[in-house]
Amino acid sequence: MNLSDPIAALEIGTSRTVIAIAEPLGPGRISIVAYGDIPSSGVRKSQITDIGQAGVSVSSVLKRLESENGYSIGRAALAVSGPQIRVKQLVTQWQVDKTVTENDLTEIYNRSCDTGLEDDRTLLDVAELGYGLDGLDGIASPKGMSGRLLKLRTLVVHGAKARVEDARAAATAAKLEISDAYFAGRCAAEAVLSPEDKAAGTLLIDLGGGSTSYVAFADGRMIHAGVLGVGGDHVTNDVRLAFSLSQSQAETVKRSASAIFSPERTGRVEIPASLMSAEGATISMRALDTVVNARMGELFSVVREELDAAGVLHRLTGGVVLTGGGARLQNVVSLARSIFGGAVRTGTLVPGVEGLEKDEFPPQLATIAGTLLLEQRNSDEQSIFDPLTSIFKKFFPGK
Amino acid sequence: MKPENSSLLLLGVGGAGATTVRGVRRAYGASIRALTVDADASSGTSAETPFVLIGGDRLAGRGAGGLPAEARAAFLDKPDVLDAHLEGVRTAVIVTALGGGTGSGATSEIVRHLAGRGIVTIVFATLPFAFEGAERQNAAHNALGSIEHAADVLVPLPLDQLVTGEDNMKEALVRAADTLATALTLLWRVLEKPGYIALDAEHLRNALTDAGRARFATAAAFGADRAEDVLRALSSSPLLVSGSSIAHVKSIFMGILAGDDLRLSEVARVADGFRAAFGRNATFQLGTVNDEATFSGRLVVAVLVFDETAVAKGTRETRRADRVAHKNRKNAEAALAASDRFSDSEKTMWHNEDLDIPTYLRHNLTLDR
Repeated sequence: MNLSDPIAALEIGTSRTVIAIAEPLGPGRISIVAYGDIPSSGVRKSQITDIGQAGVSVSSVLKRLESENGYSIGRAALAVSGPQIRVKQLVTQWQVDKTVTENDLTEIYNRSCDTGLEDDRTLLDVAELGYGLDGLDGIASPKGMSGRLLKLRTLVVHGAKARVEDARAAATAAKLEISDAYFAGRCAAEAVLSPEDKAAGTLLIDLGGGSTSYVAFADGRMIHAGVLGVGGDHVTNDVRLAFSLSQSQAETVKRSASAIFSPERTGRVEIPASLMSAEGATISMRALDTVVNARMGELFSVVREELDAAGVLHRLTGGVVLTGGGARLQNVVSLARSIFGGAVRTGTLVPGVEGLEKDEFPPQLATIAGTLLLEQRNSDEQSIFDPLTSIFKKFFPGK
Repeated sequence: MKPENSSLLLLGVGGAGATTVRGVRRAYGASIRALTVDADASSGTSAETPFVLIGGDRLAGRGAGGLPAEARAAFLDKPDVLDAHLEGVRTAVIVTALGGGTGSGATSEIVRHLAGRGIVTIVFATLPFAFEGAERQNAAHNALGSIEHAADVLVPLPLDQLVTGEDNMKEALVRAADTLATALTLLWRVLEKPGYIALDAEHLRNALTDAGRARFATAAAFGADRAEDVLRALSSSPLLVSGSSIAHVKSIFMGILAGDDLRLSEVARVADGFRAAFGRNATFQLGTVNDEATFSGRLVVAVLVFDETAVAKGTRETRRADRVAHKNRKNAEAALAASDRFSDSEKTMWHNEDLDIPTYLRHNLTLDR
């Protein structure tokens, strides 16, 4: 693949299936030239439950991109999420001949990629946590240092092979080849966190429809990550059960009227008419906010507790950044601030991502944008050894 | 009465809690309804006192290794393991030591489990000696907050106040356990072997419900001035006077134990003197035990002082919610069963809670409709 060739990314989320296409502008810079999305089918908690339906969703987005934007795509990178994703830390050892060389660092990194995952798991990401040399830990760059036993600590993100294959099968059913699979939380982080954020110690929380991914960075490195099988779908379901609404009514009410609890919000919310409710029926805004507040507060508390248990919470002094559809909820930033303390903000795309400036809510596209960034970086590295074919079956620049 | 017929349960959590409960059982006799719970199988060596091992699969009976999180997880693995021992229990007196693993980690969850079954709880929790270091002190105080949120009544007992600095180091912990065991034995006698003025388990239950924090002390004296001596000992007891103001006393629950020589004037002197010192406006409940064989010549007083604290007010709703949550959980599950939203996916579990069930239902929140 030519480094200037466009790249594409696919996200089969619980709420939406998204495909985006970008043109590389240089290292770490892309311009998103088109994207399409439709509501997903056959997906629950970010995991495919019906490959046929999910494949139809992918196919529909591909057709829309072709008819509306003139792009026909044959290959894309995949963003993977869901509670099946796990992390673990590994320590790899390597004997050094007196002084650590570049070759030693290459060898130990290659060995660290042999993660010893079980057969039903697949590797999604590896992040270096730091080196140790003859008992001295916390070395950022050991090259040139004297010693014998070099150690590399890594954070390994892995997912259920079957779940990734399900997504691949859904894409294949739509005649779309998957080039690489990336951890969706890491993708969202790449799209909104600057190098300064990562150095300062920042937590990214991607509030998705079916699950919530979180990724912690400190000293410029990913130090912890996880996925909780709770997302916007749970908020909708809570609202549905609390007020005896249909799924679509609850979704409409959630999107248009729900907010994190705040004392000034009083009055009533009109619910859309349906077979189950008469026109003009209303629900209490305060009750609605209580339902949403309880769910979101619990979600943040669980994430906080996970980070505390992993021993990384105290390193996150740079604040919290929220992305995903859940970041649209009114007052969600103040709720997160009350639980995590410190600075909390909704994510904004890094300067390296262009083309989404006019989108209604860019943080919702952080995952797909970050997948494109990671794919571009990966293509840059691969292209040195293994030129690949273009992602496009045919490409019509400028339509 | 057979122990299993009593509505009052003495429950020891962790190694030190179990030791205290066994001490009470030895002193009081086999008729006490008692239970011990620990992650360490060696706590269950006493054949007389029923024992429940928690975290068998996780910890294999080795104990929590001083890690509260391990002990908490151990209990939450199988919280129902206690249920066979809770039939008919309405009030539980829980004894635990904070600062280590099982007491600090499992007690609050055990209390929540009991509250879910409608059981009113009072927790006597010892706090580490100051010299044990900041880490154990912090662990204890963190646990104290969780227990206070869950229990009807919390009685913190700093070991520094339970035994004096003159005690031999080696014997200090044993003495602390003995002191607490003696005090609880007295409480049990007041409740289950009343004399002229009765205070029973139901009186205690009513006094405890949502009461908040309490202080507990005992004193004993002989001789002609024994009423004055007891009163003086109580008024200067660090367990009663340290860090509290009489302005906050909400109610007083007092037991007076003596032989046949107990005089009415002595009862009046102790009761009036104590109320004057600790809160004349506080609600006062008094019980007496007449037992010549045990208390001949002695006047013994055991007293619980309930404080009206801001924390207690703030946590009442939580405790009530815990109590009704058990019933409502079934409704919540029924509500979810009516929904097939997540039936085709793996449950999202967190500390044994099913997060697919709406949070407002699990937390029993009232919706202002």
